[in-house]
Formats: sequence, structure tokens, C-alpha cells
Amino acid sequence: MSDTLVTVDDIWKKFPRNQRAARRHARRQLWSQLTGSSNRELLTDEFWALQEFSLQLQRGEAVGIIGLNGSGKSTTLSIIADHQQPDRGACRTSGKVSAFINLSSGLNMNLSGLENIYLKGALDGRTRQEMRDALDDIVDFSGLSGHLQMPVGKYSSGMKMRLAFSIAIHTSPDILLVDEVLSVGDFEFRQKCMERMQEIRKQAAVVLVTHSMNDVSRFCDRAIVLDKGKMLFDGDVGDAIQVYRNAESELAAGGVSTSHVEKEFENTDALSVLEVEFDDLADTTPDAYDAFDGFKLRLRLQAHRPIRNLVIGIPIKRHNGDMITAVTSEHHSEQITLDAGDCADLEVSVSHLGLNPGRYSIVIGIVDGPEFLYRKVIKTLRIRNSEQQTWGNYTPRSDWRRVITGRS
Amino acid sequence: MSYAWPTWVLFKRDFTAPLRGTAFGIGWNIILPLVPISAYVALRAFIAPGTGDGMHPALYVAIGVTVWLLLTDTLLSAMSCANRHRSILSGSRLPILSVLIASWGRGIFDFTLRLLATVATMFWLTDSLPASALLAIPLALCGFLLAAAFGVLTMMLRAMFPDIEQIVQVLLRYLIFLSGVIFPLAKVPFGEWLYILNPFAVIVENVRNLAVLGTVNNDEVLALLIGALSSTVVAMWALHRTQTTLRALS
Repeated sequence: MSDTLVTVDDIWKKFPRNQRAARRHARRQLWSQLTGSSNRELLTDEFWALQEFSLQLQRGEAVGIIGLNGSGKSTTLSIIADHQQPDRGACRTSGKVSAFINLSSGLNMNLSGLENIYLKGALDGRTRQEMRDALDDIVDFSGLSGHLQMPVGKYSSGMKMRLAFSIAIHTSPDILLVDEVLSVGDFEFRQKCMERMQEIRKQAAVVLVTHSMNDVSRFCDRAIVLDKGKMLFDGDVGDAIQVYRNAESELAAGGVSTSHVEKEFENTDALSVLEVEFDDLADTTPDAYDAFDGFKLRLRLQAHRPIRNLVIGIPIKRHNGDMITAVTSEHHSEQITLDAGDCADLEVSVSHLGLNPGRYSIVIGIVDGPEFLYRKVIKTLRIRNSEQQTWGNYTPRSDWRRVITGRS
Repeated sequence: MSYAWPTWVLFKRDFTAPLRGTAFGIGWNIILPLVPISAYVALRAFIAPGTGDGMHPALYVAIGVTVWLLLTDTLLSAMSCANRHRSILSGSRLPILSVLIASWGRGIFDFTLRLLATVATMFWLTDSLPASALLAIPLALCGFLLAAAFGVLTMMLRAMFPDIEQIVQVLLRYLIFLSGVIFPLAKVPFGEWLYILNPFAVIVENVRNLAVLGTVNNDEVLALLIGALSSTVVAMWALHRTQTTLRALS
């Protein structure tokens, strides 16, 4: 007997772009199902959310689906879960399917945690006996034993997710579909979830949709990269992550507005920035930097009134505005004072950036004591992808050596 | 997989959850369904008696309202079912029919309460009940089947044309006066035509006559039975074919 549990054969799925198209889309979809007529063509104001997607999955296999937002990951999962039907192609599953999609949907806010365990279990297709048998484990796993009689509406969002996840994970499916829910709760709870998922994985076929490269590399045997509804890559996890990162940095290289990074400001009565030069350490101006490249920043400015305590700060921010780190002149040079009309040339070198691949904004902030004089984004810095896998935003330089402890 | 338990759990949820926190709790589930029937009975018994087509006007309206609310509650709960339960339907494999049965279960419970109130009214206002009165219940349930089928088909129409829900609600507000529920259709202009065009009026009229007078129009009942069965088959076939899409569209 074949142990292929999921067979997805060249599926396509289209969605409407606006309300008007949504109504027409609904009419055509229902009509085509009632009459068996074709609804395969793309009409005005519709787009393919998924195209030519095929997949086969065996028991014990875990595949990760990664891609930028809107790439079709969740659509794929909902088609496999039979929550949606493809417009072309076919999807077949065999065995019991458990889908961790919108976990908290189905919870009733007026009912207690305990009542919701039975309600959610029933909606997930489990029997009353199964739920009775699993009840103690679910309660222990959730860590909510002291709150079970409380209405779920009074739970925090974290507690709701813990409850929903605990109910969902106490099952023995043949096919497990997980949509971006492994970030539930605190570290300890996440570890428990991951352990339980690993147990399920041995007996089931797993499809994991996530933005977390760590989860994909820890959990999956292979990974699929989706981009605008098309399969860009299907294969080794490491290669897939590389393909994903390349796609991500290509998107970033397409130009990102820096307006949300910092509100720009300049007090021209106090000071003018005459010249800014940003180069690498070899005095060239590359398009992109490697993770451990450094940079040199030269700055010429002129004071229009006396400045008693000039401090220059260079915050480095992610393209979404999150601060990564900053360098400042405050602790590394003598106090800078300028009289009206004075010019100053300043230079700062940073030897190893250590930033992970992505797009960053270099900001210059100039203050006179507590008074802000100048704040502008002066450079958008692109850090190239490297072979090395990275986590978070920053990778410090590290040296490892083998410590021989001897044998007893 | 058996869907009996999830259906029961959903029914229980809809029965108890909305009333949590109220002082009278699920007692409201008994009081609220009796409010419309008691209001109409009081209207016809004490305020505007009028005629009752050969029976006491209060009894006329009690039966009429009981059957009418069974039909309209069934239709409306089916029509809005996919929308009301979208969080459940879009995130699970639970068949829409399970959710429908849970909703209809609530309607049947309300109907049973009203039926008991109507029987009490009958004992109060008449000396004896015809033996055929019991047959009125299966006839009302035949009407339930017809309303359920209409409801399922309107649920599909609603997914295609969202305005349908509002249109049906507006129509039903007026249709209660054009279905022989409160006053005989003979008092309404073009009453005969309305009777032919309105299956709900046929159901109300025949159930009432069977329960109180022991008479029934055989042709109408036969047509009703055929209509109810055939529309149920069509509705279930259509629901089966479209339910994944309906769940996604909800």
C-alpha cells in the first residue's frame, strides 16, 4: 500500500481584487459547481493567487512552505485542508487531517475554557470519548488549569492561543497542516509545542507554512519557496532558504521608502551639513556590502551660532524602522565646541558591521546637548546574502575552539 | 466520521452561551419564544377579536403564529447560517448541514414550546379536540422541510447576491399579513391569488383546519408534500455540490 498521504496535482486558485469582482467571482464559482461548467479563465479584476502547484507527501515527511506575504502559502494550505477548492487541478488527501489554521476560530467567548475544550474538539472532528481521554493532557499542556472555569472572553490573547493550540495539538492526525502558529506563548511553551510536533511528525505528513527560517530548518526535510503564487523552488531546506533570502533582498533592492524610518529635521539657523561621504573602508562606494564589511563616514558641517556640546549619533535601522544599533561621538572623542561660522570635518570608521542580509538605513543625528539640530537618512545600505545561515538582525564575530576534556 | 456530537455541541452552545451572565439564564429560552404568540393571542382575544374562520380568533392566531414562526425561523436561520457561523465553517471540515441542523434544532425547540402553548389555548377555548389534531404536527413538519429547502437555496443565493438577506427579511415582515396568520386572507384584497402564490399561506391554513376543524384540502396537502420532498432533494444536492465553496465564501 502506498504511503502517499497528500497529492496535489497542478492546482490553480484565483481571487478577486475588489468587492464587485468578489460578487461576480462567487456567482461564477457556485454556478460552475452546480452546473459542472468551466470557471477556469481569469476575468478582469481577478488574479492567480496560486499557479501550477504540485506536491506529493509521504508519511513521516515534513515540508516547509516559505515565501513573502501574498505568495500563496496560506491558500495552498487551505486547499490541502479542503477549506477551499482549486479552480484548476486536484488535491487528494488520505487519512485524518488536522489543520492548525486560525486556531482560535471556533472558540466561544461566553463559554468557559473547559466547555471550549469540548466545543473545539467537536468542531475539529473528534469524538466525545477522545476528548474525555485527552482532557487531562490538554489541561496540563496548556498550563491553564487554574482558569478553566473562567469564560474564555476574559482570557488574554496569549491564554486563548495556548488553549487553542493545546486542544489542537492533542490529536493523532495522518496529515498535519500548520500555518504560522509556532510562535505561540513563551519560550517554555514553544519548546513543548515543538517537542509535541516532532512526535506527531514521526507518524504523519506535515506541511508547515511559516516566515521563520529557524522553524523550517529545524522541522522540515524539504522546503518549497513560493513567489506571487508560483513555485520558485522545491528541494533542500538550506537551498530553499537561500532562494527565499535572494527573493527578499531583490524586493528590498527594488526601493524602499525611508520616510517611516525617521522624521527628518534640520535646524538651519544653528548648523548646516555641507558634505556627507559614505564609503567602504577601501574608499569605494559599492552597491551592496558583505556582512562583515565596514564603512567610513565623513562629514563637513558649519555652525551658524555657538555650539557648546556637539554630539553626532549614527543610528542604524532596519528598513521597517526598527533600531538595530547606533554609534555615537559622545564617548569616543573630546567634547566638540564650535563658534558661529566655524567649520568642522569629522570622520568615523566602523570596522565590522556584522549586520545580517537585508536593507538598512543609516541615519545621522546631530545634537547640541539636549537640543536636536539635525536628523536625516543619509544612506540606504544593502547587505548581501551569504552562504552562512543567520538569525535575527546581527551576527557578532565569533571564534570557536575545540576544548578537549579528556577521557575518564 | 460521525457529526452527531459536533451538531449537538453546537446546538448546546447556541442554546446556552448567549444567555451566560443573565440572572435568569437559560430560562429566557423558554420565555422569549412565547412572547410573540402571547402578544398576538392577546391582540386577537382582547383588543381586536374580528372573525376567526369558524374558530375562536385567539386560537386562529395562536396556530397561525406557531406555524408561521416555525417556517420563517427555519428559512431565516438557514439563509444566514453560513455567514453567522463563518469562523467555524471557514476553519473546519464540519459540513454545513451539521451547522444547519444545530440552528434548526433551536427552531424546533421554540416550535415545541409554542405548540404546547397553543394546545393549552385549544383546551382553554374549545370543548374538545378532533383526533386529526395530532396529524397537524407532521403537516407542520412538512412545511418545515419546505422552509428548510428554501432557506438552503436562499443561503446560496445570498452568497452570490448579498442583498437577498435584507430583501427576504423585508418581504417576510409584510408576508405575515398576507399569509392568513393573523387575519383570514379573505379580508385582504386579492386574497385568493395570494393564497395560490404563497405556499406558506397554504401550510398555515391547512395545519390550522386540520388541528381545529379536522378538515384538510387533499390536493393542497399532496402538492405541499411533493413540493417539500422535491425541493429538499434539490437543496441537499446543491448544498452537497457547493459546500466547500460556500464555506470559503462565508
